[in-house]
Amino acid sequence: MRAMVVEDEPLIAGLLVRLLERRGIDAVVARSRAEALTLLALDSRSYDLAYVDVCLSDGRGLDVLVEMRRRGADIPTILATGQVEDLQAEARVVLRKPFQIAAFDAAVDACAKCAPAEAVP
Amino acid sequence: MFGTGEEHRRRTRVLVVHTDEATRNSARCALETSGAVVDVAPCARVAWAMLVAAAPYDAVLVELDAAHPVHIPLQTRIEALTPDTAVVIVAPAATSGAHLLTPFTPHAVVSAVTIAILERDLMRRPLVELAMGLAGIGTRSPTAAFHVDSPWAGSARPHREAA
Repeated sequence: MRAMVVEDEPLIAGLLVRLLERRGIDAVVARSRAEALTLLALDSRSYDLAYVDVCLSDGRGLDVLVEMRRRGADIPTILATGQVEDLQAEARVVLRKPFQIAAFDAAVDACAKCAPAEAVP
Repeated sequence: MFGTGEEHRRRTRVLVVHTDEATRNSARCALETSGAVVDVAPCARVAWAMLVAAAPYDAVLVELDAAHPVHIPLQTRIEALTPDTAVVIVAPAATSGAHLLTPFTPHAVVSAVTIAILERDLMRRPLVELAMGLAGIGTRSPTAAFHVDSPWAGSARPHREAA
């Protein structure tokens, strides 16, 4: 599995990468909205999971979801936010900051359940 | 794929210990807005009473005041009483060893607490797992985070409002 982590706080991003790697998931980090959009432009089809922080230093993380949709990339996404806002129409899983590892793991599990089935050869 | 609205969260419990009421309320507001359950204390004595009386906190924000270094005994006592509680040191700008600098934004407070809790959770993992995967942040002792060479202070920006 491969994940995109869109998080502008490097320490949080680093911790999440380690948590994902522990589960055998390769993670690519985008530290900004712009970096995330660049990654999607390069390859939007190779991600099985995305973690997107809603509040990024250069804009809204929701823009990343919009770009995913525009490119037809149906990536199960965890939206992370520290604000009270109704995001449940935007993504499969909403994760409220601050969160514990157990909550993050549960969110990843929920995304894994809703991921498209792997193609059978 | 979009819009089914599953939310994963256990409400985080945080205690804010700060002598300045505005700072206290600012942190409380930011954390409550994020959905956390927040208690506040104006001093170490009240904080200790709350720590003993209340259910364990996920995190405690403690003011670092060089003139009145209550954070040191309080930190030690927190570690003894509830070792699973993450401690976030709050201090004015240009203070070394702090995790969160004042004045701070709501985003900074929530990020600082998130980092502290994730680090705490990682520290509770089996040692073999730490040894395999957690170079740097994960292998530090919680106490180390309070020194100048802490991973927080060293890698980065302590959290504060941009100028």
